[in-house]
Amino acid sequence: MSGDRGPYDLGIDVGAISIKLLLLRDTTPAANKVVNTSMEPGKLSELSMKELLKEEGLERKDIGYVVATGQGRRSLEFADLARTDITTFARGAHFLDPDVDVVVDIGGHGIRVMRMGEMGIISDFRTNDKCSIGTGCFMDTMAHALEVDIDDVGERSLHSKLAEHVNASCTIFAESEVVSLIAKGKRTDDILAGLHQMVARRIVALVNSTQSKGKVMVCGGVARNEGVVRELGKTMNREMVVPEMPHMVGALGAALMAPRPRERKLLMKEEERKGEIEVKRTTFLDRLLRWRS
Amino acid sequence: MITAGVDLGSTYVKAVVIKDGRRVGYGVAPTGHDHDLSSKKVLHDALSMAGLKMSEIDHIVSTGYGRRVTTLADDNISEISANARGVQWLGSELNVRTIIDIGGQDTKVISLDDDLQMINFAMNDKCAAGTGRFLEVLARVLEVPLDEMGPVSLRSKDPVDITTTCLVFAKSEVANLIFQGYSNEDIIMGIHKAVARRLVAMAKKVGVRDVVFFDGGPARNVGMVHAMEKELGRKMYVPEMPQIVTATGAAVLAAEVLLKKGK
Repeated sequence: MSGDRGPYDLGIDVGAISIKLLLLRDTTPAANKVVNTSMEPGKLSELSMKELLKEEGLERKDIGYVVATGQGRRSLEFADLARTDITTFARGAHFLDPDVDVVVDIGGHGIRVMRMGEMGIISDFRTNDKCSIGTGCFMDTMAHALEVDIDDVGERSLHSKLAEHVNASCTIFAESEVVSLIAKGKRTDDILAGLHQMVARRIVALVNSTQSKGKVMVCGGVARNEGVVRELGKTMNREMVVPEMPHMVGALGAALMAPRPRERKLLMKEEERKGEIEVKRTTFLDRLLRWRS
Repeated sequence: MITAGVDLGSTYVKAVVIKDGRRVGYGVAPTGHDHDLSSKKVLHDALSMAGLKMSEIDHIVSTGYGRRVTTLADDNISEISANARGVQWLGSELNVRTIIDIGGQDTKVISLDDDLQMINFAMNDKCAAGTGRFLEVLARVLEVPLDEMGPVSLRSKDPVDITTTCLVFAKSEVANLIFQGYSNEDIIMGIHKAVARRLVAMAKKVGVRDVVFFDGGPARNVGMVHAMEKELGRKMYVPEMPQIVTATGAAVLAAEVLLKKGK
């Protein structure tokens, strides 16, 4: 447990649909990786980490801290720290753009809206993980019903000239609605555009519920869908930014939560004091960080 | 006097023929894409069971979510009213005060007064959780025929806890439970419990009094009934053919329309 920790930090965001890994050197992203999740996210994350290290010609000892986030963060036994997705998304978003007032994460299984306070500390948040409407899971289900590859969904919808109005409150019912629209001979591009409008309406309503008028950052996997982003831009009515890799914001925030060198020295002293006793690193690190803030 | 009720649900179409105050025939078929066609088919089935001809029917009332689509009917009525009327007719001596009707894509709770008149109701048609669709989709994930869900679940000793609300998430959760090696019976009873939790929460908002009448297709599922009774903490009355209560109500209303006209 002694010796220097490597200069890299790794953030792993274990989401419902995919696992995102981001390698940070100091505070500069060095490499990243996305894999579809499996039934055993812990094993898959470890394997993906090894692959990423190999690709970069690095070894495990080059990594200072592995910080896990996302709904499956607890399944990563090899991680040094675990942080909630709310915290990491806020941290990542604030790092990318300190002027952002509201952060929306449209994830695989949930939509989270965070209101940023001073210095990037969250002042308020709301999250919906009870309902799948508007999430990545919703888009996946619709893409499947329309037999369109999920990566093409955004681009296809941009070809639409007249969006087909879809208004379902439930993913399962929306699926039936889409199937009947297909049966009626409606164009796939138009149905997709209608679905994106529907998602945008819901997101904007959520953002407006924060009472903020400030700048919005949209992140999470669904923000990669240019159709959704376009509709959001039309309806948001305020300044909106989408980072280059919106799905990586959580992993970025996680990697940024690794203790910086000065804090590390403190930690190492603590570890030496503990001597032979094996302590769960996460617990006392958690305590230390909470105490610091 | 011969009348018919046709209930065009989201998943199944049901028809009932009533002759001189007795149910003489019924038919049930999947809704399919063509409501008109499927409603004609089930009415035909109901008529052949009764040994009657189409031309002999005096009045047809349609109900259910596709009630305005069919060209068969002389009148249409909401499924809430038709269901309440069906319960009044079938269970006039049962002291029913609460009806829980679980459909393919929605759920209704109806509260009746002492004269069996409807005083309040609640409906969920916005979310698939707590509807028949929840059972249908998860049965497919489990690769268990829908009709076997009930009997299989009754063997469960330690039902799982389904933690997600959304059916889409529940699909992943169930797939994960299968992967983790949980038995079908424990997963299925867990599913029934999840549906029961939602239904009972909704029923309690409307108010649960006296005899609870449980109908709709999923009420045929013995595991569902068991989970509901446990969650409610009381016995329910489940009719012999819970699927055709609403169609029965529509047929009864058709007869009443004729009686009012003085025929």
